[in-house]
Amino acid sequence: MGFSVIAEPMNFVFCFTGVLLGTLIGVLPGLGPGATISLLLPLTYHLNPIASIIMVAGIYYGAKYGGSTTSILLNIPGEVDSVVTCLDGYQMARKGRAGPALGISAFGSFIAGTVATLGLMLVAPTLARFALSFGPPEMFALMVLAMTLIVFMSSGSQAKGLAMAALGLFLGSVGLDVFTNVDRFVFGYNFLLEGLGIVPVIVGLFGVGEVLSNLEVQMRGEVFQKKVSNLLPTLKDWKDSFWPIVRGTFIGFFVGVIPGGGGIASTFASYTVEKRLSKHPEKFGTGAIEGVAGPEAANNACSGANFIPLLTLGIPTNGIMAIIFASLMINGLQPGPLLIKNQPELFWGVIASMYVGNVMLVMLNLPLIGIWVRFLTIPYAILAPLILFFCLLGAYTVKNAVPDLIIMLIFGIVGFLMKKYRYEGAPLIMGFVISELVEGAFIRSLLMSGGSFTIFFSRPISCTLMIVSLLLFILPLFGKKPISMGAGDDEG
Amino acid sequence: MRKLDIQSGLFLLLLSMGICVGSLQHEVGSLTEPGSGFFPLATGLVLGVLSILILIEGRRGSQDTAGFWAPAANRKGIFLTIFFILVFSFLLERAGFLFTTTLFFFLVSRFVSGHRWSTALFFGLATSVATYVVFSFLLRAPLPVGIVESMF
Repeated sequence: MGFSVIAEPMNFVFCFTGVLLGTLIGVLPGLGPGATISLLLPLTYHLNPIASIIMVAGIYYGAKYGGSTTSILLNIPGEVDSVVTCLDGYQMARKGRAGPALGISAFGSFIAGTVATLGLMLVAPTLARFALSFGPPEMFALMVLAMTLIVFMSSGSQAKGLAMAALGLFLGSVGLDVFTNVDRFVFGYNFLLEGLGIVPVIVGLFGVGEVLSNLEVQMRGEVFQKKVSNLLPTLKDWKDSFWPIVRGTFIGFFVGVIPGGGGIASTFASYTVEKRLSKHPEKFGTGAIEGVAGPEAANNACSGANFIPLLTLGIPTNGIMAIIFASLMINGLQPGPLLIKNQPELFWGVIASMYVGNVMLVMLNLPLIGIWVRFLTIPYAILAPLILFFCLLGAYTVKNAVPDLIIMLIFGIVGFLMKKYRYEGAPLIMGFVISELVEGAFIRSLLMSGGSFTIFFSRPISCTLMIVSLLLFILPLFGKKPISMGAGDDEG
Repeated sequence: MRKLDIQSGLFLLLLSMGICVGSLQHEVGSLTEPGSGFFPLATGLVLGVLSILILIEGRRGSQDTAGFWAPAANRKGIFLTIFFILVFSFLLERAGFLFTTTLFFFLVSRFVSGHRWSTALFFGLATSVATYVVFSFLLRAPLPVGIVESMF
């Protein structure tokens, strides 16, 4: 069914547009997938849901491919998950081996992306069937766990992350209360009755906030190897990279399934494993191809696996998944266990588009590398007005309302300040987009139990999920977090 | 991060108090029958507790090594950008899409990005006309009409 969906010319074109845009923004430092998908959210209003989700997914995994190009050639990660690739990829470029580094990165990404899509295809329907038995207490506990995990696995302070999630939940409650039909926190402004719009909030936080941050300090970098040749890795390169790609794929897939498991977590894990297993760990950091192959595979497997919790449980696992969650909602689709049953064309169409998109990416990334290298030299002074303009256009055209521009500006300033004060945007967006679901599950659980909180601990699944959440919250109080991986830092 | 954490912690504490006070203006209800203010109050209380934790972390944290602004920060560019967005929002439905967009692009390109007057004007005109054509004629999305658009 999925391949018949992607075979439709319109869906095929949007898949290509998505991966092309993804590669482009992955290559352009200062413009991440989060900002780009936010900018394109208003466009999804004008498209059919399947085409828009196929395009948005293409941008996400396409950016992972493109992000490695800047890491290898410029030593600046095009998007944050590619930061590990800088370590050995850039060193390979300095030694004149940018071609094999880019080649193994693209092939590794292709293999991992395809395996992860296969995993998504096998795991998602089973998980969705299991999730159908979830009642409000289980859904509430699951969403609490997802938010706690995102905060736990992100870099920085746990209290700050949770505070942002709480703030996001509050912001999501602004407007008309669906239970009582009473308006909340609208202060007499009718445009707030529908709540703070998803698009202006996300575009402000990720788009305008990003531009303001980038304007403060101009980014500069030196392209080490402007002319790249010999992209095909040698037999020795393949021999050295085979097992790192296999291990990276599995690490990325399993990290990606966990809410909060961002690409950067999987790339660091893969790099650490490869260095530990290597007979020559001293070569890591000086241009070891294993240090590129493993993390790049992990990064791409992770991006495929990230869709599993989103499409089966309705839980966005990171900031970008929260934006994709928002784009599904904009199209009138409710991500969750019923999505596969009610929208099989969408689910299988997206999966098939991932197979096709991965092939497109290899074809786009390798033969056209010369063009991507040229994009590296576009100065931010040209990009900034364009990005700002698309932010304004995006926020305005959703409802043709000027107040949305003001909301976007306010959240742009908030996004800028959050970066300055080291607060992450992902928990805030996550809380904001799932606020209505959390409130609904919470209130229904209380109504079911006659006002007793014990309902969350008297049912086995919700009890387990709540205990894990509590442990994750308490654990850092007894020492340092075991891992710090910046799961939410995906705005690039 | 000490100073910055204390500043942000205090701001969030004040915000949480505002949320709690605002929630109490609505019907909070009870656990058996939650009202419209129940959930916002819960989020306000959680935010309050967490902001206190941030303040404690800030008090325990090491002295700041860096200030709010990065060295040689382009503050002017940031403030001008915010101002130009406000100008855009104010003018869009009054002066129409083409004029406002050209002006916005021109202002940002000239005064934030530092392009030459002619380049900035060219950028502005080209982008606004191209976008107008795409949105009005291809996507058929209505854009605010001003004097310039009424000539078409």
